[in-house]
Amino acid sequence: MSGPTSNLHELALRIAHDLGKYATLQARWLAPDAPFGEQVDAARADLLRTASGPDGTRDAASIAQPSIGPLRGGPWGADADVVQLVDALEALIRSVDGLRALGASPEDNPHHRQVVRASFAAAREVRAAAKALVVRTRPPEPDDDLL
Amino acid sequence: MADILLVDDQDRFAQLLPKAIPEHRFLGPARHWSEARTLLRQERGRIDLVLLDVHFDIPEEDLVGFRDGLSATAVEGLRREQGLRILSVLRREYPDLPVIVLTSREGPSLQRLGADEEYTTFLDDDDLDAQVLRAQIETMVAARRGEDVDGAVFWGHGLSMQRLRQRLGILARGRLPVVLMGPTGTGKSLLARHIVHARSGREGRFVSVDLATLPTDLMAAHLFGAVRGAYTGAVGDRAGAFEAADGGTLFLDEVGNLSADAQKMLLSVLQDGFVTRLGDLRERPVDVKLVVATNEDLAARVREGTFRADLYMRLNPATAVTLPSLVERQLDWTKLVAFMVEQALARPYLRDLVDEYARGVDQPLRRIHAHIGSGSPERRPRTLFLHFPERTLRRLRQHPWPGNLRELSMVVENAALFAISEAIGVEPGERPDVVVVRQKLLDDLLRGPGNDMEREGLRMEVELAPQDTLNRVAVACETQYFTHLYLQERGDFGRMATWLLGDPEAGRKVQLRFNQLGLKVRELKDRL
Repeated sequence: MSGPTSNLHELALRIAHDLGKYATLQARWLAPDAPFGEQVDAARADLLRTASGPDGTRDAASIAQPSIGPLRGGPWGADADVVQLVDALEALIRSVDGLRALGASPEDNPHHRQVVRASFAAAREVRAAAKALVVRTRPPEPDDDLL
Repeated sequence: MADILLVDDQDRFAQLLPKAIPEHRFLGPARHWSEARTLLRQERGRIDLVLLDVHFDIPEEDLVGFRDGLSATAVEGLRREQGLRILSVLRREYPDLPVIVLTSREGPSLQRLGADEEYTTFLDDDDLDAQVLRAQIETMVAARRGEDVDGAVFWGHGLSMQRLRQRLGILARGRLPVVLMGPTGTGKSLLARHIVHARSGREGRFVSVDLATLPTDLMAAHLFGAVRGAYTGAVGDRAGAFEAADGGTLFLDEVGNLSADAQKMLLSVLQDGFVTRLGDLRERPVDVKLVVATNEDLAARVREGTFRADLYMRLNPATAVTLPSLVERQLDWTKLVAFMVEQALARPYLRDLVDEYARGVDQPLRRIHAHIGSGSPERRPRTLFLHFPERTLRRLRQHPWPGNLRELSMVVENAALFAISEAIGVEPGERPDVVVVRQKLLDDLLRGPGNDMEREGLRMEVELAPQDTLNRVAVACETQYFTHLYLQERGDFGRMATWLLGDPEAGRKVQLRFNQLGLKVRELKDRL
């Protein structure tokens, strides 16, 4: 498979892996009644240290940002699923800013809890939107008869 | 606590796991295969399990399967499925090391991943949390740490065999019959004796009856007993197998051969707990743990009307245990062959042979050990090693084993017998404490008149890297096939032609194709 759909599939796969997986990783391991401190730790790990390897650490915004241009500017720019994914990526970038604004020691108050919850929701939304696009654009499995 | 190697290009799991599952020790992360291999070697068998990611964003030179000339798309594909490449190498080098692959539904399909692998579990990213991962780790580590040998039974570390072992242990303690199914030679009678009977807690005898060898008209008398005059030739009262096994276990092999009369009487014993000898009126109470074995489909026999439905239901078919064939089991062949060799060498006639060999080489060799695989065994005082080199082991692995464990056991015993016998009287080399079982001997043993079935097919592993065209993939595959066949048939094109075309006269044709593939006899001869 080649052409625009294939490229969109590649793009969606990349987002699903880099953000869908890692921006929701620790949050998905949280107990439902985890204390606020653990929630903050998870949100920071997921969104502020999303990619962490020998080359250093990157936050979710710096991973999301480069994908928005190719998604919006490609021949699929008006596709409803693509638009949804772009919206989710932009919301995620805003969440990263929101988390940073909490400072070093966030308090367990309604505003801060809302910021953390919103960051979890934004990451989940990116994950869901990217997965939906991956599934929709997935090339068919090779047919045994053709091999 | 288990030692778990994480193979992942990212740090996130490595940071998360020790906090989420603190009861285990996590090593790594190894960023690519080369690092993983180094850690595996450093730890020398101490690693209990590998956690493996699938997508690796790593430099192309670190990718398994990378070679110059690959397109950018192909390299990206390699990165996306790198975990599967690593899994493939892991399986070759560490065949029984449990691996949990952390995959995702967005990635390669589970079907393509070969999700039924014995030592491999694929955990979908969507379902993954600390609880799921912890449970999976504990199941796999427990299976690995279980003793792989249980008396005369070799279980291996495979999850399915460990589950089967656990299941049989549970069934052994119950009062209901146990049905063992599976192809011939898979060890049904061995399990009945060494597992079911041994774990039943029963103090009575283990009595085994092979119904395939009993004449139909004597079957009922043999199983249930008879009184004098019950049939022609019944010159005295005799107890049957049920009475002999009272308080113990009765194993009925090939239960599909039960005669119609015997089926009816067996049903009666199972229902009432009493046995009545032929020609007698007296009912005798019996307390027997019944184990039956068959390689037939008893349910089909019931549908055909040749096996009683009521008896079938009494045999507790819902808990029937099916044993896999040898080739279906993902085995650690090194351990299995060592186990078989040790068993064979315990036979008195082989020990006598070893004594004769020891006298011939003037060495006080008292103990015998199997040494399997590459390298020479380290000398040990008064110890003779029966060495199965890697090539010999490979030959064993490639055989289709239609007779399963029974056949393997006989081949290994024959290999020991011939190798030691042929070494007697020969001028000893540098290591008189080592007798080598050569591939040639195995070739002869496996090609004996009883092994014509091998001609049904040849098994081999093919290692493939992505190619630009399907034709190149086919050529890569064929080249390996020809190489393998050439080495196996020791350069005999006629024998290769028999494999390939069923015609030993077509050697010239095979040689032409051999040349077309770019294979060189002079290069391969060095490997013979």
